[in-house]
Amino acid sequence: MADRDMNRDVMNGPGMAEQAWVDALADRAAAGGAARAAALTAFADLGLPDRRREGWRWTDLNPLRSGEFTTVAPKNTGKVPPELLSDPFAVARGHRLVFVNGYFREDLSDTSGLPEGVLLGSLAAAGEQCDPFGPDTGFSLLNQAGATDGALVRVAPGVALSRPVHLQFVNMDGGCHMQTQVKVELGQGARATLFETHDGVTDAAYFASQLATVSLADGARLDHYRLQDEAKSSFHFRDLRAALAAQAGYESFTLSTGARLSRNSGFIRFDGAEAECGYHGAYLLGGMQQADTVTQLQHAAPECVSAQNFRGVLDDRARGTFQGCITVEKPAQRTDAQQSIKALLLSPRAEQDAKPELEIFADDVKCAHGASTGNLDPDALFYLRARGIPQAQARALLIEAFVSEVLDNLSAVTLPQDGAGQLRDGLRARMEMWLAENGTGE
Amino acid sequence: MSEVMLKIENLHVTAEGTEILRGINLEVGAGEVHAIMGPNGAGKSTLSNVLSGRPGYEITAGSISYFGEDLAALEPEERAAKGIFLGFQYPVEIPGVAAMSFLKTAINAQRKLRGEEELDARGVMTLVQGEAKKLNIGADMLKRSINVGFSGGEKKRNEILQMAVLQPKLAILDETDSGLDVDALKLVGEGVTALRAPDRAMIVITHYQRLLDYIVPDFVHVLAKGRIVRSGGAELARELDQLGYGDLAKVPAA
Repeated sequence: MADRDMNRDVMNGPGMAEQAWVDALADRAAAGGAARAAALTAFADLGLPDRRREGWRWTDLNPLRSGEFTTVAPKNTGKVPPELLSDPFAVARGHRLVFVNGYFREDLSDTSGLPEGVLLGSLAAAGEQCDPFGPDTGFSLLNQAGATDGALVRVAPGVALSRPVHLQFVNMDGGCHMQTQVKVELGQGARATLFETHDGVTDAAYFASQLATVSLADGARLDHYRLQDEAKSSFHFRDLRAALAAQAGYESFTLSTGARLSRNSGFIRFDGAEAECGYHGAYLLGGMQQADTVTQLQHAAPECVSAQNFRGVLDDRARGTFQGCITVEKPAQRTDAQQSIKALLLSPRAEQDAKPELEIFADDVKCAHGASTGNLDPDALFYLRARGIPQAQARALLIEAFVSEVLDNLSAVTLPQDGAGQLRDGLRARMEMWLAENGTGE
Repeated sequence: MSEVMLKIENLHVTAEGTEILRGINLEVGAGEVHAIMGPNGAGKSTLSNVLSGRPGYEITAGSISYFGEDLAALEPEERAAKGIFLGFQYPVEIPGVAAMSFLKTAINAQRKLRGEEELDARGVMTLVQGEAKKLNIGADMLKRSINVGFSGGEKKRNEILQMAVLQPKLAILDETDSGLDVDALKLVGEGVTALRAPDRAMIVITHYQRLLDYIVPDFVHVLAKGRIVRSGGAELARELDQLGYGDLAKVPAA
């Protein structure tokens, strides 16, 4: 596994970049209460991770350290492209929260017709913040110190949110950072579906970061689908902390096509028995794009089931990295944990790195993991061409089929009526857009 | 003789630096069924691959003309759109692509290349289901990924279904009988025979005579060491079945 630009880290004095962030966020943190101020102080101590830190050796953060993104994004009341605002669930007619540059846009949002017991709206308006469990990282602290706003989804016990919720984050300016949060709390037996999109409407580079906390009480169920299509020159860092109580269910799928460097980090803790989690994703990358996927599934209770299926499609000099850790603690007997990462390399210079880790302290568990990379199967390609399907279309068909192995198996149980079909169609449409621009071969 | 559809002249082909076909001459007219038989390693599959345009083969001498056009200049998909169909010896499994949607894609890709109007989902469905029924292919098989988990017989029936739906002018069936039991062989043989037509030619490549009990050829050619060493009528196949290829392979090419 080749490390790119390894020696460049050493040249940059650690601390200088961090100080620029601290200065830029000092006023905001001071005005935002004790928690923000404490987060900023802790960030000043801890700093952004460098390559010597565990889990970061494949990721070059120097472009972020340049100081180019320390300015807080301006409020932007401009027009959001209408195609972004079309309802992805026309049949189900979803609720919608729109954030532009990290600020809530009430004028574009729709929270009408919410059932009783559902709180859906701006975190800032509610005077709340994410309170993440798990270890602090430079990014989580920076976000806690500097987040401008975010989405709050709180569903009372026994309440089912029958329409999907679209959480939409649109970034429209460069040379700044957008830090947002998503806070989800489902009471006992509550159900909800989130469809989260991250779009960039600018060619200029920006830094978007999001901290998300998901708390599912006994028997609660959350389906959480995400689309990351940030501007191609931008940076996107996402840090999820999800805690599942007994018999809770969580299904997540992230499709990433955007950003120059993105990192999708998920820490999922099984606190109660018989909880289930399907944590999946796919990334389609070209050019010099890099997407990091980091998962940490901590089985702390017995008889929980986790499945992780990731697919990477890498063209040009794109790079995918996957670090997946499954921990099974001693009380977590009869855990069933499965992890799979498969990458398709469309170009000889594309690269996929994978590091699976299993830490098992219980003695009666089922754990499986697999990682593979490969090229498009020339026999399959010829088979399709021999039936009259042109080369570019045949390649696209095979790539789509490769990702569909995961996409088609999403259960999407909380989606009403034809919602699951619409979800797949929506994600597939984005995939096809990507394929039309990339991946069709020389 | 009927209209010449395919004319192969002095065809020499190498794969990975090894010469496999060493001067093939063959003419196929509309409506004719030609069987090409021969021992393993004779070059039978190379011939079918070269005709359908599989990458990895180099024509070092000679020519292939199809309706007067130089076939070598065409991409595999262009050949398919112009009516060339290869029934694969080993149909490829493609996870994630359902057999039905594959057929729809293939039909419309060919129509598009030919400048014809595309068929809608309903039109394709009607066409496919009608042909599938004749080959005893159920709806569940069409919903499954192409060839994934299909038995040997199902794979070959699926090939014939594709042929029936795509209505080629020249069908090349590469060892369609391999891996089939007696019942499946009969079903496939009858399926192919039903597709014989005055404007359609077929090249049936096989190692054994048994498929030719169902698809009775107009001409039989023996391929050995990259050349056609003998040609005859349907009776030649039966002769070969009794005597084997041993002596024929020794006969010098005419």
